[in-house]
Amino acid sequence: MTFLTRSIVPALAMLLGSTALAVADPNWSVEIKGGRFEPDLDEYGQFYGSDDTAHFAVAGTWLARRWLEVGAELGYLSDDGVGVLPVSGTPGAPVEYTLWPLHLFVTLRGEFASGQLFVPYASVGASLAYYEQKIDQQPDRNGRTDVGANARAGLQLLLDRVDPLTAEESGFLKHSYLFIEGQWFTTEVDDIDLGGYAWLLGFKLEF
Amino acid sequence: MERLIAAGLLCVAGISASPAADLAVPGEFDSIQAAIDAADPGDVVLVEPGTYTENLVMRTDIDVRGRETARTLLEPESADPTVSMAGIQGATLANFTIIDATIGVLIANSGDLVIANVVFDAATNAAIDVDLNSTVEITNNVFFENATAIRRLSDASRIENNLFVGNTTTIASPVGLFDSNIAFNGFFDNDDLRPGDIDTALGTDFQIGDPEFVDPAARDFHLRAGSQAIDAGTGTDVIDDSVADLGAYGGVGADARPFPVSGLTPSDASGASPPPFAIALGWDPNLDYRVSGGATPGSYRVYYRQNGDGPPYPGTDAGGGAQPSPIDVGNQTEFVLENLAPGIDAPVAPQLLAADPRNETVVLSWSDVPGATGYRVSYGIASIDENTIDLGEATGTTVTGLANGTTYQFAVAAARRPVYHIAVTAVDGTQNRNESAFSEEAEMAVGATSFSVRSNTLRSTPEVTVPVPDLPDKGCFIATAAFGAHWQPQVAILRDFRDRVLLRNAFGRGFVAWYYEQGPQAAAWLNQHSQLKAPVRAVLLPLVAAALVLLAATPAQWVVLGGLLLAWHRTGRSRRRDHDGVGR
Repeated sequence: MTFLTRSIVPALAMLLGSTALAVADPNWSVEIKGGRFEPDLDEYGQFYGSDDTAHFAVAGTWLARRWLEVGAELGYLSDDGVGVLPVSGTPGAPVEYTLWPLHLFVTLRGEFASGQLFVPYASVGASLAYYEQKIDQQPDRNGRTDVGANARAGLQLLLDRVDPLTAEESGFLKHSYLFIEGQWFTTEVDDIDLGGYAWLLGFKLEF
Repeated sequence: MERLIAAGLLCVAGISASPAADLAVPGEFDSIQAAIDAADPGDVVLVEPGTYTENLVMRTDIDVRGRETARTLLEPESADPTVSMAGIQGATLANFTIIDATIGVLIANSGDLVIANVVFDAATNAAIDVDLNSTVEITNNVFFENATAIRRLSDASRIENNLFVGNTTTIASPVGLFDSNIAFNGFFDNDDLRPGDIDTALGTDFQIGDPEFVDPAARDFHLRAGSQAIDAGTGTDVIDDSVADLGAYGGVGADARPFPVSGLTPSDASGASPPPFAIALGWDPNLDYRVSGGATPGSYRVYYRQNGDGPPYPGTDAGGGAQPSPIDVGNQTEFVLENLAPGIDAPVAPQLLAADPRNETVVLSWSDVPGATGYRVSYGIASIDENTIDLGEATGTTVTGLANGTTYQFAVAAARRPVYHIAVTAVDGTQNRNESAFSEEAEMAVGATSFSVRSNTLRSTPEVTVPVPDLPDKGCFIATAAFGAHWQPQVAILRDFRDRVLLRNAFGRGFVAWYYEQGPQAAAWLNQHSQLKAPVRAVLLPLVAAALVLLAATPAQWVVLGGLLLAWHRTGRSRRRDHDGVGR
């Protein structure tokens, strides 16, 4: 965590500053994505019925170059399960576990020509998460994790090529993509890692 | 030979002409239109009370009649006319209330039609629209607040015994035919017939003035006592054999049933120490002149039964057995069912399905017992009879106030209390004693509760649940703000005090709930005024120490406490030295 906070975040800030000077009119994008998230927690499936859960996220990015963008993403996942009674070792009260992961990231895009149909990309960045646990008949638990790291990679399909007529008619919207993405992040609280892996399908609009 | 010819004729007649029949809706047919489509000439489609959402297309020589005008509602499914009569002969539409119509009835190229005893309520275009080539008798209807009550392109249609109230246009006729073929109708508050705010009329033998409907808002267009529309029509009245009234409840085809009673309210009148058991009843009066007015007013009937809803109402125990259901109570609107003998069989025992341990509570669930009006939960440590909780019809509950780590045993019994189901009808004062439909049924539980034997017994030990993952709660807002981080030992001590002391009693839980509402704002305020953190820490330190003592602190915590007190002491000495130095 110390390495991340002391090295990656300032590096991101420096990169942002240098590209901001280089590009006078940057493009922006928004992404909405959803899929499955598999927490990196032992026995998660035993108490929540499945090893993974639904995951939704929205992200905004700034396209410093066509091949470089920086952004932030807020995710949401929630799962219903049960806790454990430590004395008897049996399943206990219902638990509602909710996590809001927050990621800052920088992305390198493999766009080598204008109108390229498929665009691969990869990102790295910093993460933290807000969590909440609602336990039946007990006080809620909530808090924030320490800063961790994230990485992601995916493939974007340029929809302008699929529907050129609509793309031409839309003046404000410059490009739209359908994409698949794999994510990994790690962020800890009291040595418990609340991160994991996510597989997402999303829609990206550049304007 | 003549016998053979006659037999042959009869046989042919029998084959070629089936007798007229009633086609019931619902019952035989799901919709009125389905019955119309299946009917043979001469048949009558008889529609029971209800709300029917349809656009009807009538056919030649087929009558469509509602059972009760006020309770047989017809509303259109689309913006088309609610009823279309096009190119047909010899059909009757009667005893309906047509609501939410654009055009209520559209008549084109048709003849020998009758529209009778229908209420047209608020058609936005026209209640009845008749073209140039049609003839129809429009008799004993109510036209209430329509855009146009009747639009006709000729005077071939006879209009009589109707009441026109609150319409924008009353009868739109060709020029020169405004009054033609219109007689014995009542007019009140129609926009086009109020020059100078004075009501006028059309045709001959008319009545002008408020017909005094019982309750138009409830679509009860019966006439109150004293209405000038009573016996003001032409022809006879099927209900009381007098001269026909104007409106939907006069003439030869009127629906004779009074409007149902409303506002039935029961209350337990058993007194402080029953038996005897009694139920007091009250209801709104039916202001129909045939029920409440005149020299021979009508009456009300009280129907009742025990432990079952809906008619029939075969109750027998009221009045110590002397007042079996129904009871004719005269024209009063209050009555007491006295000397009741409520009784009920004990229900079967439920099965206790689960006793799930929680933090100082146990969550119980059990099987539903048909007919149970409640359940009794029994629980205890040494004996199951130590505590009882009486509940309603829910099949589960959370037993609170238990001690973690202590094993309790639980059982549940089903309860049934006798319930009286009561309805009231209105009966008119005519020779036929016509009776309304039942009022909305009222229920009242009286009498002693019968309990089943207890269910199976389950044992459960309350315990704090640990969630997965076992995450820390960083919500000790003020202390976290004051001490800088949730992991500071002072904060940890207060959090431990919350979990091990406060949350184990009702007062503590109340305080924690209050603190969790107010704490975040206070912490935010403290973060904005960081100069106050030191005083807050000074206030909290004694509390931390007290919490530590109450928690029967571990050796490690005592070390922390000692360090804190030492730091506090040194801080005080240092400040005094600084102060003394400044003073010198």
